Amino acid sequence: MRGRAGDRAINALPEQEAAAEPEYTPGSAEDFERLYRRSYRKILITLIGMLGDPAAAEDCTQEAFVRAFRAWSSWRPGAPAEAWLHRIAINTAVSHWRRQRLRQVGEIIKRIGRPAPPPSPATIAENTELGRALRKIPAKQAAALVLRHYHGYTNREIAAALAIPERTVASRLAAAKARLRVELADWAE
Amino acid sequence: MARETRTFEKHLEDDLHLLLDPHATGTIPAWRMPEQSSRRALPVVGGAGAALGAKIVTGAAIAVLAAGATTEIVITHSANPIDWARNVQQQVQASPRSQGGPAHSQPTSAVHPSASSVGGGSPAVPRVSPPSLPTVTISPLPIPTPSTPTLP
Repeated sequence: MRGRAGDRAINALPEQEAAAEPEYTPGSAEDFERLYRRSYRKILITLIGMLGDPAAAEDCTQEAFVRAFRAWSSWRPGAPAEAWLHRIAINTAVSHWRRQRLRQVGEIIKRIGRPAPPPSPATIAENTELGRALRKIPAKQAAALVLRHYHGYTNREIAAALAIPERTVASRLAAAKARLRVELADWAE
Repeated sequence: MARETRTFEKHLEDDLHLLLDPHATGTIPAWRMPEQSSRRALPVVGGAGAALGAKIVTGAAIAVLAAGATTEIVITHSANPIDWARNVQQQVQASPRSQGGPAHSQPTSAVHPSASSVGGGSPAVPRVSPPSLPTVTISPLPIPTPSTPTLP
């Protein structure tokens, strides 16, 4: 599974960067730039899967890298750098997702009795069945699904990215898939 | 059941790629080193500002003291503070009020005529009683004492 899901994502990287994760020195600006170039797209894709809005995902990705850079000197070389970055990015996206939900509730209250506005052009591209279903499940469950079924991460890497115990990853993935099955009832038939 | 799950997962992977692959080929924006955030810079600026303020206040105080000392040196032609005190005493003695003259006579000059002779072996200064200053009596405010209940 990892091979298949991982191959396509890794193929998007330049040849010299497609090898195993290189070693980084905490606090080194050059190393951080390498990490940025290597993992930017992966992070962006995970956040698009979580948020369903490419523009918001780009903003969150940039914000996550800025946060990561500030904490770069405290990163421990023992932990996989990409999973560490994913953790920061997912937390950034979850905060955005919560703010967005609150804003939506506020807009619904303001709009009571008026017709709904048309969907924003940024999200129209994501209006596939799966895109809509992913937005209905909790953001961290969506992230787990993308990490496993798109990036091909192992349970250990997902655990590091989501800051949860490894044994929780399987149950979270199972819950996410069960929820998706309900949302996409006639999809897999 | 397992086959069904595998079919679902395959479907999920295919659709995830359909959904997300178009974003995997976009250009990566150049990494720009973030500047120091203003939130972090503020305490530094505040600290520097406070230090600068303290220096200005200290400098002003020293300048005032130095100006006062310089004035006294110019008047008495002596760097000895004892001579400054002596000069003040002489001026007080020479003032019309202490001599019993009219209250509003000619203005006294800042430099006493005998000031030039103060520096080098001036004669013994006569005892002078300084003019009486109005006394201000400060009565302390009564401090309320808690009344303790008297025991029977």
